[in-house]
Amino acid sequence: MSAWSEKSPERKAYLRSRYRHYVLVLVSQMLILIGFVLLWELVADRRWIDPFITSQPTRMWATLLHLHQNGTLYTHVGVTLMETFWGFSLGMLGGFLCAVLLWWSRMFQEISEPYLVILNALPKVALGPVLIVWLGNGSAAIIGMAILISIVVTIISMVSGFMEVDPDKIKLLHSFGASRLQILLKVVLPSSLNSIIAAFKVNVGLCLVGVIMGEFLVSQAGLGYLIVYGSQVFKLDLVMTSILILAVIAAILYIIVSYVGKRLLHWQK
Amino acid sequence: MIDISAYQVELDHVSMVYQSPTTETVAIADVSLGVKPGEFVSIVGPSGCGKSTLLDIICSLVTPTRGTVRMNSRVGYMLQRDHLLEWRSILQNCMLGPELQGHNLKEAREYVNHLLRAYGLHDFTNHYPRQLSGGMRQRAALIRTLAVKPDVLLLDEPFSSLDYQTRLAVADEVWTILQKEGKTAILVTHDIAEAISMADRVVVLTARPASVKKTIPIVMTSEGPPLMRRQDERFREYFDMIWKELDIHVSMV
Repeated sequence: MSAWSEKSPERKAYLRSRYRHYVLVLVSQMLILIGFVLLWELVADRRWIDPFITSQPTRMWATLLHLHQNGTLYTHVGVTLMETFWGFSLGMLGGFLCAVLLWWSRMFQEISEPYLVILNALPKVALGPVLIVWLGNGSAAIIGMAILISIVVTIISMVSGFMEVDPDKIKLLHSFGASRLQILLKVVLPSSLNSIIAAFKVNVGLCLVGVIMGEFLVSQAGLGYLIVYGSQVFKLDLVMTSILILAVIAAILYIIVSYVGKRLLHWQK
Repeated sequence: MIDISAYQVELDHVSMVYQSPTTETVAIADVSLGVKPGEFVSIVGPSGCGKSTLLDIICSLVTPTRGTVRMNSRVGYMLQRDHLLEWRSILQNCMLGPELQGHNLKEAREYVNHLLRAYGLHDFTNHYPRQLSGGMRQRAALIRTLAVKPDVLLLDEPFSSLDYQTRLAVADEVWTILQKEGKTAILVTHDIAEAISMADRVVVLTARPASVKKTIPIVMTSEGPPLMRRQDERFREYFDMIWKELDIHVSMV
């Protein structure tokens, strides 16, 4: 390797062009964001659009500062995060356990198939009012909504991941006299880690959808509540600011989950 | 009664019928076969004749429809591809069998380390499978099989996924390792040359449903590892003999 430590001109040129490409993409992405914000501010300032119904970046900033100063920002973000966390954890756990059960018993899988297909196709929001009646108009119903939205997808994608495991690998374990539990733990789960992590990533988004849906329907706090409340009293600044915060939260959650996923799959690197 | 049977593995009129919703397939018609301790037996036959099923039966992964399998020893199974688990290091892969069978892990690790050292993989114990060449991966798979100290090794075309040069080298290595460790081996292959170069005895099977067509003891002018045996003057004779037995028709059109 030492002979190649001195980079050839071709290598240098290649690395330079790659770096240039990377910078170009990054700068373009940032320019689009900055341009959009500036344009928004400009057209609102010139009254080409009505900032009363579209809001504008400086007003959103002021709203954010206001929410920060009176502390309500943290209450609402906290409530939404807490509900998302529970929805995500319980949805993943429940989905995972169901997937294991379906993998364990072929019979059970066949029996439950039509129900899963229909549950998957059903718009879960339709069950929102039912959840409110059953669980009351509080966080429980909202978490229920998040679980409902994420669990079916989790089950379906995890089971298909489990079923894709190379049958010869399972045969190998059988040849060592492995039990079904050992096959699950030593081969099936590790080799479906990819699909489990994929389910993780999808679920973060879906849970957030469920929580916001739930907060639209019932709630006294949370970003979904802020959005609905803001729109009802025609405070579009509040609505837009809440949506912006929500976007930031979604991005952060996605980054966290991706990072955790990458750490779990370290052997692929 | 003391078991005076000289065989370590004995198949007695074994047959296998597979059921499916549309049809019934007879995979193995009637196979009787005995393998003595320390013997290396190759089983050749036309592709799809049920050779691999025979190994599955010996390993008791499937129960034969009729007939009995007598065996009083531990078996190790080596499959067509190495199937090393990508998320485990080489050492962890080799420890799979002892882990599953609940052996004393400390002793097993010592034994595995000894094997890895003896067969040139010691520098790779903490590497992951994808960092190893095909030949090294197959060697690691063999050590994984040996880690549970089997008396009988079942080899199901273990070299078929390797390129030709590697294949010759790995066959030589595996044969030498098995010889050194004093293991009984049953090799299933469709490669006539491979079968002859490794075995004390070649069993030729008929096309599906399989039965034993002929058993040919291999006696070379001088004993040695597979690569040397390929040079032996009798090698050609055996090759022609088995080729004729297999009765392969090559269309000349």
